[in-house]
Amino acid sequence: MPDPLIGKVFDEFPDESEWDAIVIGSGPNGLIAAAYLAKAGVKVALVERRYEIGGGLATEEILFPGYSSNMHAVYHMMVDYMPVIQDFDLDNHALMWTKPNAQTGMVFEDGTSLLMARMVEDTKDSITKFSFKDAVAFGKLIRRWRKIVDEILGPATYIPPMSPLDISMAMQRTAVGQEMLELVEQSPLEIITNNFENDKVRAFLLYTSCMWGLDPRETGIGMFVALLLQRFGMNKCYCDGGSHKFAASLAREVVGNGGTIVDAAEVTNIIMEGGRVAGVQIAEGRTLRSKVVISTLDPHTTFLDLVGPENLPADLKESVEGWQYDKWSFYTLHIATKEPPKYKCDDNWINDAFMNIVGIEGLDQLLAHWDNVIGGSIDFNNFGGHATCESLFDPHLVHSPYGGYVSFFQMHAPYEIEGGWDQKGKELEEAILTKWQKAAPNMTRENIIKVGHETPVGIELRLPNMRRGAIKHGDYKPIQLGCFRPNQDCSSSATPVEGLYVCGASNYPGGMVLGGPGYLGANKVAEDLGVTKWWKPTKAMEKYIRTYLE
Amino acid sequence: MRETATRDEKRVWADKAVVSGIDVKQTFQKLIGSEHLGTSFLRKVDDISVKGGSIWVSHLLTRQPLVPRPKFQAPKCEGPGEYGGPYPCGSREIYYEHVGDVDGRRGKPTVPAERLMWIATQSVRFHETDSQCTIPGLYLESPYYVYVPPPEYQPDGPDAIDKHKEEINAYMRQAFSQVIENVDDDNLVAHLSNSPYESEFRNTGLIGGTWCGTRHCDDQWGENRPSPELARYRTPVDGLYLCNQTACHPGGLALMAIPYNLMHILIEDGLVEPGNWWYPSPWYIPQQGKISAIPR
Repeated sequence: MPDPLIGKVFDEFPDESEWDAIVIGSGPNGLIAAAYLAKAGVKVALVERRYEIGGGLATEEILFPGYSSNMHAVYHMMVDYMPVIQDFDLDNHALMWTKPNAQTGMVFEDGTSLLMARMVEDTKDSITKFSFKDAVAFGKLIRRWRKIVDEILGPATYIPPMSPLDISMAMQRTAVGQEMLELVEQSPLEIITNNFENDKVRAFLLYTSCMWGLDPRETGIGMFVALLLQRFGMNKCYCDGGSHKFAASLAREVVGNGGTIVDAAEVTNIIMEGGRVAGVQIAEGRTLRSKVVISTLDPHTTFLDLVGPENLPADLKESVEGWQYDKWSFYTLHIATKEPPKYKCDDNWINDAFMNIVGIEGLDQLLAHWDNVIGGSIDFNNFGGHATCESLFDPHLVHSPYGGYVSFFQMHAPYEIEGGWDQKGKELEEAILTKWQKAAPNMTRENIIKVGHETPVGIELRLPNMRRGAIKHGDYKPIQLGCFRPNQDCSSSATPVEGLYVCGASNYPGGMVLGGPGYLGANKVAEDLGVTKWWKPTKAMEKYIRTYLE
Repeated sequence: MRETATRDEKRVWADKAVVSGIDVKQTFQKLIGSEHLGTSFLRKVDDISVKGGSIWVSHLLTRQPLVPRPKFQAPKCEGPGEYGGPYPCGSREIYYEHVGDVDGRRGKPTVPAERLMWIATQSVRFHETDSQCTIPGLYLESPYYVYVPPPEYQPDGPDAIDKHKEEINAYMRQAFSQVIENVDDDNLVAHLSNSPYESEFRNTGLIGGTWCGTRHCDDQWGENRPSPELARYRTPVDGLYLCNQTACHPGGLALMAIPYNLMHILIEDGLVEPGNWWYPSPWYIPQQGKISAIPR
């Protein structure tokens, strides 16, 4: 029922309403699914718990008025492939992306550095300081991996998942496909150590490959090395105006095409009638009825909390209960400073780089740092992280008359930590500032205007479906990837619960604003509703289908 | 119009187009100005790489012709002897070391002089009527090229190696002397050198102080030169076209192809109708939705 103190938030919104489809969660995937369906003529309601849409696409004034920070997503690595951008022509009327040449840097204590640039030759130049052999190897590998990404991994991100056997048979058709299969069989650590000799180069490439939560020693995930180095390491984009701009542009497409966004509306349960979904109930008491409910939330929330274990087949319940969240979360220090960080090292380009890794000196140290985090601790004498000065790329983020810059330093962190995050969060803030200042001497207290941090627990508080601070809604490991994400029954978006669809980051192809689950969810729902699709696969997807699937 | 007509603060209005023969960076950063361009586009322009190929050019004025050491003397050679380079070329490692020093470290050279790579075009190779030196009794030997980093990327600032010019000249003569036996103070009248930084001052379009202007590499070649959105000579600024080696396929080396290629684009956009004298490239593919540059 309406809140007795404030009344109905939206008086014009009825207590009970009927919809063709309801989407839960207005993160990137919810927005994408709703936008496609709305434009296809489906009467769609997008329901969001927060007062603002976007989920991880959040750009907010968390430090001080006039200083906006990108709270979660900031590195957009699949902009060149996402169908939603071209289907809605977002690049021409809504969005502007910045893809700096200086992409990913790493600064060492002795003043040397490594830099991965958009341009291959510039990257080779940097590696050659440490090993000419590694520079040549990088050039050769990345050109081959670019083909793997362009022809296979990029387009396949937006095509429903296949079984490992089907993938193996399809990939046999081409040399590029066969090379990808060979990659898959290796662990990231094997790929890096087999191809590169220098310890610093190895640490740099492994950090970039695995930083979002890949186990460096796990086999069966090697293709991520090609994908992450090529797309994240060398081709990530910044969304001008902040990541929330991306969400806002999608929201305009939802509403502009007749959809409705219901915000400040937490779904308390998915209504089940006659063994199938019948709608959702929101916390203030309203009921939205629909035979199609699309959830972008994590598996526990969707199936156990909202549908209820009593409504699930035993296999599905068991699968959801066994779902594992990310092997590590993140601790992020957000900071406003008078000057941007100025790294003292042998390469001026580091100061232009989109992201810089600080505090990691070699491969063993990196592995030890990750092992500590997975084990639930942080060694204050041995940790590293990555930093970005966002306002170097986007002056819009600072509106304060005092001027300045906003940056962040992010590091891998366990959800549960000895002593608790209330205490450790403050201690870590000091440790990070000390470490950061070693690499960038101007990051002194005098330079700081304002500083704040977000712990893994804080992530979960802000976005509860990032359970345990899991930004990808679930670990990346072979049994939780591809057609196993979140499980074989649900990876196509449809679920064994009639009328219930899932298409969040816990679905294939995963998180990190790939936009894949939302797109695939919209496709599946449109097919099941018998709605005419107004969109077509991209050219790259068509080529992939012709080459590997037909 | 008088030749001096546009001096001082004059405005020349173009009804159809402005074609910039200036390098791509200054075209947008200085002539158009950042206030008219998006941050994303400006970043792309800033990022256009001018690495790869900057050279330090030496000219040696000597009392006696320079003579190669016997080991480097070309067979059946008459006169003082010919040499060219590159030297030294005894191992691949020498090349790696030099490239790593220039493109990787980008600072003051650290390669030992005896391993520094260089090439030369001797004056002796020119026809006797093509006099290189008109001072009686003296000889001009040039140019000698050594690969050095462009000023833009030097960690200690663009003029960093120019501050040590005499020291670097001496270092380079030490390198040349591995091959030439009489590059010594007794023989040398003057060593004039031209650093990349000086090349930029002399010709502001030679950004990076290089002949190729912007780097010739996969990411900046062909359909990517200088970046995909600028690769067909058009720009995001209506009426502005690019026509400079830094901005357009096929790049530097005085290939004379850029204005010809641009002509196809100007025809496509309906800005020129050249008439019967025009012939399009046999490899030209008309762009859909545009006027074809192939005469009907």
